[in-house]
Amino acid sequence: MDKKLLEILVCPLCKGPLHYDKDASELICNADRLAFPIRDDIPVMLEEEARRIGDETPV
Amino acid sequence: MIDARPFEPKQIRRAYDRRSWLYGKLVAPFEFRNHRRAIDRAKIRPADKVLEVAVGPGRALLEIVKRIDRDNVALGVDAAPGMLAIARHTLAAVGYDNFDLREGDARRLDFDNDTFDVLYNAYMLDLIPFADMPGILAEFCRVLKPGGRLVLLNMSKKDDERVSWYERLYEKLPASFVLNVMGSCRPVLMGEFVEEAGFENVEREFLGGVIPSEIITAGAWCPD
Repeated sequence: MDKKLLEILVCPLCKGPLHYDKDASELICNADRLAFPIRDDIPVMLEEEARRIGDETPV
Repeated sequence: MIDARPFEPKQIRRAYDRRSWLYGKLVAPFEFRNHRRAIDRAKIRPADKVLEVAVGPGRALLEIVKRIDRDNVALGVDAAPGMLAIARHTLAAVGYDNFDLREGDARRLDFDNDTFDVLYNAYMLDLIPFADMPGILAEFCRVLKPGGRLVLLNMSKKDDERVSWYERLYEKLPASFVLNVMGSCRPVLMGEFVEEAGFENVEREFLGGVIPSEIITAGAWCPD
């Protein structure tokens, strides 16, 4: 993911910073403990599609 | 002006996702001239940071990327993954790669405050209930830089003096027809909502034609 782009991205819920996990292909919000998937190079920034960190099931 | 039928955002997302190909072929061509006119009114400069919310099949986004530098990246959001796949193909097919797409919700954008010079949003608020409009417009204002330009294009009518035949059908036809055939769209007049959200210099242009529409342009000087 482009560094410049990552700088302007925030969590859609809390508007806090996101961390890019390249290996898992996810954008992670540590505050909300949510991992937003990147599918086919398109980030899916919807709460209902996010994975709760530490949980196997989608939110 | 009538309110939107009470569909859940998930229902609308699914309906547009399932019909994304059909929408791109049947509806988008009728919207294109209006998009061109609205994007002209956005007065996009080559270095502008531009966000389009609700990119649909990507015809408007293509007009946007044509107007910016090749090393500048336009951003696009849509709730329907099927639409995003078509948008990506639409732009790539004519050689553009200076865009970045995401699946998202206009109510909760994933961009920092004061990021964009221009926010373009077409044929989306006409399917949103009145109650949700202030929150969406506040979100648009949040991501626009102070003095940034908001450009809205929506199904509309010349004035709000009487209820049109289309609005009568929209209110009376079965929910499945309204959602799946009419796309849940009804005419809206967005000027007052935009002013109430704190935008300034709000201007309206009415466009006739197959899909009567309005262009709203406004400047973002919004309260924190």
